[in-house]
Amino acid sequence: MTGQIEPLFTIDIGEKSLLIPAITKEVVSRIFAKNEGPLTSRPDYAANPTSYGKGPIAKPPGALVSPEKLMKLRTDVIADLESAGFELNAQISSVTDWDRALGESLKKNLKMSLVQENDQGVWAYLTLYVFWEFPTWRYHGRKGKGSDGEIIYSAKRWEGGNKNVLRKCWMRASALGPDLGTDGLSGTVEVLNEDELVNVFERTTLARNRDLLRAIVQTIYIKRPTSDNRMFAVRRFATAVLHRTPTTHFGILHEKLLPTLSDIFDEVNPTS
Amino acid sequence: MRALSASSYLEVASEALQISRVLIGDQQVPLKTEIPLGGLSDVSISCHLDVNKILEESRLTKPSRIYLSIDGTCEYLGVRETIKSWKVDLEQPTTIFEETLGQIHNDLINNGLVLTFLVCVVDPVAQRNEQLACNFDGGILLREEVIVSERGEGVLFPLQYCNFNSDEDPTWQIELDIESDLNAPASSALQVKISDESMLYKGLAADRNANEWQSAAATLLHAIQTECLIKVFENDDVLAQLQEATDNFQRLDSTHWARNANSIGFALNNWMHYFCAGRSIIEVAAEFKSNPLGVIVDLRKSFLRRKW
Repeated sequence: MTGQIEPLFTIDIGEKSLLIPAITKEVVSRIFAKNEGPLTSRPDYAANPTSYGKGPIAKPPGALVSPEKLMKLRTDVIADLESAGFELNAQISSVTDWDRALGESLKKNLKMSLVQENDQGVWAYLTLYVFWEFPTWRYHGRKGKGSDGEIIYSAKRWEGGNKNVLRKCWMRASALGPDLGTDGLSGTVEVLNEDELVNVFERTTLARNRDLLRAIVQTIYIKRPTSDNRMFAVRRFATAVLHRTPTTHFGILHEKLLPTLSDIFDEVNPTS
Repeated sequence: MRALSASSYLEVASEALQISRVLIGDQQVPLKTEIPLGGLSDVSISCHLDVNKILEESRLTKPSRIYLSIDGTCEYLGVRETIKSWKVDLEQPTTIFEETLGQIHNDLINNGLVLTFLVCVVDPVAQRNEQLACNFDGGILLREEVIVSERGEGVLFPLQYCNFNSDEDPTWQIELDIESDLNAPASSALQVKISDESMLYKGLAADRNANEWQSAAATLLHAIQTECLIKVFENDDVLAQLQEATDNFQRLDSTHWARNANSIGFALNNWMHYFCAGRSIIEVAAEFKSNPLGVIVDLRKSFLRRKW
């Protein structure tokens, strides 16, 4: 054994990134309760080039990103989405493509430290104060239970968890790349759809291990390159890999990782 | 179909791996003193692997490849990685691993880091006629966890100073995020933010032996307890989870880390038990809903009478 003084983790801590303000879930609830349908113009509480916005916004100590830069981030991301063919607030033709375009743009334009990436308050702030119309642009809501047919939105798209409209897309682009793992594969390979991505990314034991996550996605593309008949196969596969994690150390397999995952896929999907 | 069912194979008793030391810088883990917020810290280990015992108990033979691997997990920052691994020389009866592994970002340490030592097998070959030996690649024969730091415990209590940009100008703000990780200590679910212009901030910034600091710390703990319980009592889902967590806590073995009287988790649980006075949390919550002010007054009284 030889000792080497070098960082043990491959992750980028992003220590020098500018800090973004944060809000608590309570603030989200308070503002969310006042929302009445899709947002198409800037709400009075939101950020502008000279202000972080109104309300109890927590600004962490250190080098804060300026409100002006936050507004530039907003402009850049919207420009990227428009150049990908999505008009602001208009009906989205393909939500999968919209999610991919947003993830790619956020990955390119938004630099955060690892601590901030995992701070739900930061994502909630960005959603409510910077990208205020994105949740209602992406999710049109569902008809409510009331006789007046009110539209109900899920607060989880605003809160900063895994279902946050921005964080979800950013996480996927960050782990798999903007093409969601299809880079270098045949043009006939169809990118994973929403249900398939949720089944992998919302199992934290799998999603937090980036090497394993990428190998899982690669295995899916090899085994089922097109989306026909793929959704339930992916569900079974993701569950099976998760069930193996207490007994199998995937991190040690190296060149045997893909064959092992391939065997698991075949075991739970015998007809493939 | 093994992938969908529990595996049965021979594991190895933990005595086969003796971890004698894990150091962050020159401090033994789990860390009890503060480390800088940013930067990197050296990590070094010393452990002893009894190769004969591993082969004997796992019923594997020498053509198998055995590895010692160390995984680093920081759940709060969403990181799981295999940070180091070695192929074990099976010709030697024992192997000693003693070295500086490398450096770990203090951000990971400050947010709760666990190092997991794993002994696992690749290309397993079982001893003759042995049906129960591990027969799959990556099979974990032995697993030992070393907690480097617990987020939410002692010095790592997630307290954050900040400026509030608010008309209401709050002194402190507390978020209870019970969804972060069900295995995490309860107190790690707290996000506490303190306004850096407040008296509370100045008190906490004072010398730890000063009355100002002790007063501020007590105020903060009181604020956390009251605020958290109010949040809990207003949320049926969280309430059910908390009841379950409290029941589980009462069943914990006395050697469990959460039973350590120095931990904030212990203090909170102990205090809640005292406050509830034999009633379930759900019963207290029902009372809170009908008489919130009365329950808050009781909370304050029981805080003043606390015996921890």
